[in-house]
Amino acid sequence: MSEASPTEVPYDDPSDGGRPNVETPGIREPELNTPFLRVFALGLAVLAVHMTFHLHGHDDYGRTASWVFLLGLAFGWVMQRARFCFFCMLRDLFEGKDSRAALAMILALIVGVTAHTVLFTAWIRNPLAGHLPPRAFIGPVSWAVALGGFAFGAGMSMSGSCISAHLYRLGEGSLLAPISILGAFLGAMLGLKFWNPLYLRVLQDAPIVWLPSWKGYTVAWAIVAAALGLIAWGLLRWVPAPDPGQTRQRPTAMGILHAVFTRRWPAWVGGLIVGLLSTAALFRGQPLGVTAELNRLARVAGDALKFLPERLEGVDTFRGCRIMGDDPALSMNALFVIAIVVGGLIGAAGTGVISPSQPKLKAYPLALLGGILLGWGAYIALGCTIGTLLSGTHAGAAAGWIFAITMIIGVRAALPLRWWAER
Amino acid sequence: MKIKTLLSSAAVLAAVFTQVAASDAVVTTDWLANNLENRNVRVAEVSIIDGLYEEGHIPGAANISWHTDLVDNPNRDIVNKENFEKLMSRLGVTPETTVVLYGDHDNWFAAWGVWIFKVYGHDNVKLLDGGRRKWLAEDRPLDTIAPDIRPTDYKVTEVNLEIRARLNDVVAVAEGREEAHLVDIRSPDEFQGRVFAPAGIQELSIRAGHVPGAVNVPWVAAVNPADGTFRSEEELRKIYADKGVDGSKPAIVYCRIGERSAHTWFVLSQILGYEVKQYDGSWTEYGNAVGVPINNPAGTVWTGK
Repeated sequence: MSEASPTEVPYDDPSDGGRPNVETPGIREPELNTPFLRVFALGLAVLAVHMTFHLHGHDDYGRTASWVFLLGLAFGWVMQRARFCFFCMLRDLFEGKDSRAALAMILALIVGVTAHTVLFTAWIRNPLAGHLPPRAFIGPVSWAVALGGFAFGAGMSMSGSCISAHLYRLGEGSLLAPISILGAFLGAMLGLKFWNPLYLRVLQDAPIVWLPSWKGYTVAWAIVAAALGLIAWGLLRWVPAPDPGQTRQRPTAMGILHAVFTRRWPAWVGGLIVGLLSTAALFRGQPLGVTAELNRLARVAGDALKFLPERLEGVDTFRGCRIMGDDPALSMNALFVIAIVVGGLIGAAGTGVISPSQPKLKAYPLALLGGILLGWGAYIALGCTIGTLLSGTHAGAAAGWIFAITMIIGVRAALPLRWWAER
Repeated sequence: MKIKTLLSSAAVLAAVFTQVAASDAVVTTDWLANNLENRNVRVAEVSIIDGLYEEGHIPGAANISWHTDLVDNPNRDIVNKENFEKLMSRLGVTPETTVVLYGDHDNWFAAWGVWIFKVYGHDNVKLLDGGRRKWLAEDRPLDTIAPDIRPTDYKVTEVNLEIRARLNDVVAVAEGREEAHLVDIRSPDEFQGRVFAPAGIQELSIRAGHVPGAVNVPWVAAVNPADGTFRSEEELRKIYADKGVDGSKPAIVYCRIGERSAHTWFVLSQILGYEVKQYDGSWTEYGNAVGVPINNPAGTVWTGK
């Protein structure tokens, strides 16, 4: 760790590779540093809060939409502030042998699983009875989710992060994020194009496995907690030693403001909040997920281009990042995605410094290709790192765990491409 | 688009026809589970016990509080037309909406809700067979979120007072001036005059007994004890015919405070198709009324020996 000064944790490099705390020698990133950025962030935050009230009173949207928007803002802001990014977490682990972000992810999982279990005991009194909790993100188990996870993981390495992190990075001035999101859009269209055979041969009869339906809540929770505990134990060896130069000081008001708005949060704070936000989202409206709107747009565009089959079998029957009905102008998921981008932008601008990344030329086509894998993988897995992985594992879906494992393998397998792109 | 609409309505129809229930007036838990996202269906809970809805309800169901939504306080009356329109608008109901009501205690007050809906001319209203009890017994999902409902502007176009009996109607039957079957759905002890009110109940009449000429068929006779569903149409027809209530004359049903009897009103009118009025004044009005005849086989006297 080459840190700028012993007392000041350096501002993380927000470049698309997401490597934190490591200075790239020789490259000085251009910085957009102006006091107006903070004023802008404040103004945007005020506008965003106003928007939640506006949605609340709006005939076409109402309370749930207002909640969804507010949760999206919080989610985008927290992800940006704590650098809650699945790819960064794995990259730290594989390259930097730094497991702090991975431990934060495990914290997010155990907090979410525990809080979801509490909710579910109120909604499903007997989990063995064969019913699924309302709204929860529990998808079918098949090789499609495994393959989707692998493709998604490879897409993460190639494009520099997963879809949700690309969304919050839009606000950080990432140049690869829009390219990757465009790729994901194309990938979703590919997923739709070949949806019918996948649905008819695989998904239609695939079992939907909800862990508590096996031996009840206690056993499901205990197994998950034990597995996460074991992984966490294994990861402890890669927690860096504390910097001896840093001394504890009495907190000051300025110091706290600085810690909240300027410096990156410790990863575990992000993990804790994300676990709670995911539960709040399910409780107050719909589970976290970021690809439903992307899929909807891909379907609209694909239909317009006559690229897609006329009928998509059973596409509306799955929970989660499925394509929803076409009621109001902005779907709930569109509101959520917009809110994530706005929340990420508030977080980034709130630091007072935005430094757009300067990726190498070869990173652009790789990001497009990676984006396509992200979109396609998320489509056939019926969700991405947020929907299938986070909301899914929180809800006790076996599909979430399968996605997580193959995604990690995919990330590792395609990581050399990222190194190549950054060389 | 047309094909899609056609297919979805076919699916709905198929769902309707696959229900196995005593009658078209009720829907099964299976049917409801398959129609929770059907936009033409509005589900609402009418439970007696406060807070049950908040504890957990059928996903997507709205709440109807019988204390406030279905009565006209402080008058002792059913909700007035304006407030009923407000309630229906709040529930997002249009004249085409199928409303499914359910509640605790085997649908006592949900049935009372159906009666009020019918009074105000909303005929497309059904009960969930077995109510809250059966849904829970089958371990079906509950939810704790109140649904977001886009309000409508509901207007009542006809008021149907033919299904409501007032004191005068009942007195006329008791005095032999009108012909009707009187059905008392309370417990045999109340009917016989042995008690003034069931144990633990404060509201009561200062006379015990029943309306002269009434037959006693406790409400519970109409349901299967195991799950609270209504018995089959044949069984029901026989149970009431054995007491002389066979649809040959109009019937009037009553109980103590006039809500439970709506359950029997539902059975006789909605399932068996008889002409029935529900007397919501019931025994607390009739038994207290001055100068009207009663029959008290037990001969008990209020505060007497």
